[in-house]
Amino acid sequence: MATVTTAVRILGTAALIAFFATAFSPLPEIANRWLTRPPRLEPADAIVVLGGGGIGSDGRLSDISMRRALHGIALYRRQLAPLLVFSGPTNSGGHSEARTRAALAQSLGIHREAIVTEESALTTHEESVRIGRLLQPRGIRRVLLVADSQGMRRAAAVFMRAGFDVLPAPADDVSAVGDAPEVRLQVARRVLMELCALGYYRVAGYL
Amino acid sequence: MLPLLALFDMSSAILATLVVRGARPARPSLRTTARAIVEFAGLWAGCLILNLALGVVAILGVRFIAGTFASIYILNDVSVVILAALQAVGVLVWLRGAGQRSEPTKPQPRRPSGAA
Repeated sequence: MATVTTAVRILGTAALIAFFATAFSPLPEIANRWLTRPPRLEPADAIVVLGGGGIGSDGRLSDISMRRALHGIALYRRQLAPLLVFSGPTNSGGHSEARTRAALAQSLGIHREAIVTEESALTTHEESVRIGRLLQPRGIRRVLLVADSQGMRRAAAVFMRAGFDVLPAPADDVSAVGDAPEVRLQVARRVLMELCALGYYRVAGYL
Repeated sequence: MLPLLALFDMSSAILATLVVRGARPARPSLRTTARAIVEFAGLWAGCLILNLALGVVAILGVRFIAGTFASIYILNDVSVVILAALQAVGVLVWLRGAGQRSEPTKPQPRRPSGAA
């Protein structure tokens, strides 16, 4: 019983220190800076917008999915690439994230011929493999990759492994430079999740 | 950041005043309170880690054994944190109960045999 109490107190002290260090210091921002890759917005063969957050049962894109899609559309409008690739699976209600994003792009004036969709991939690794199969026969190598900042290191690594020359084009729904405790906790949560994902990808041999 | 900490200082002072004046606890010790907070935080963190670890194992199990895709992001839900806090309260109460039972009982003063 005494051992359990001691262990609980040690864990509690560590948890409280971690909470205060995360919420009330710039630690999450520093960790985030280490994890992210700076944007390289240069001309490419295609803009690849990764799935993220999915689509609701009512057919509405999640905030992060919408933000990434709009960032991809903005990059296309800047004529950085002639092709826009939207990825994103279909949910149980039959709504496809990729097709919904493609419809959004078309409604904003982008021609159907300039859009490619990939709806079968469920993970970043699968996206790299399947988008590779779609684009590489067309001779496409250099891509602007749209993902969130925290996931960019991993996403860029798997796309490079799939044979692409990757230019990071991060799109975020959470600012990493805010000093509000909630923002810092959000950033810390994403950093922690991404570190776990990076660890898993290393163990699984995807990187 | 500082306004939030000031807010919590103020509300803690109000709560302490209300509890001390209203409930009149036997020994309102700051050390006992701090210890209880640390223990609760430890149990909360422990419950959260356990839930996340079990969740990851279950999801990977579903992926590799059943061959069905399950997203790891279902664990990225604030309700996991709240449920872990509730679990921690339950475990804390159980542990305190167990601690009280394991304490040696003090000998009761004997009543005079003729007393009713």
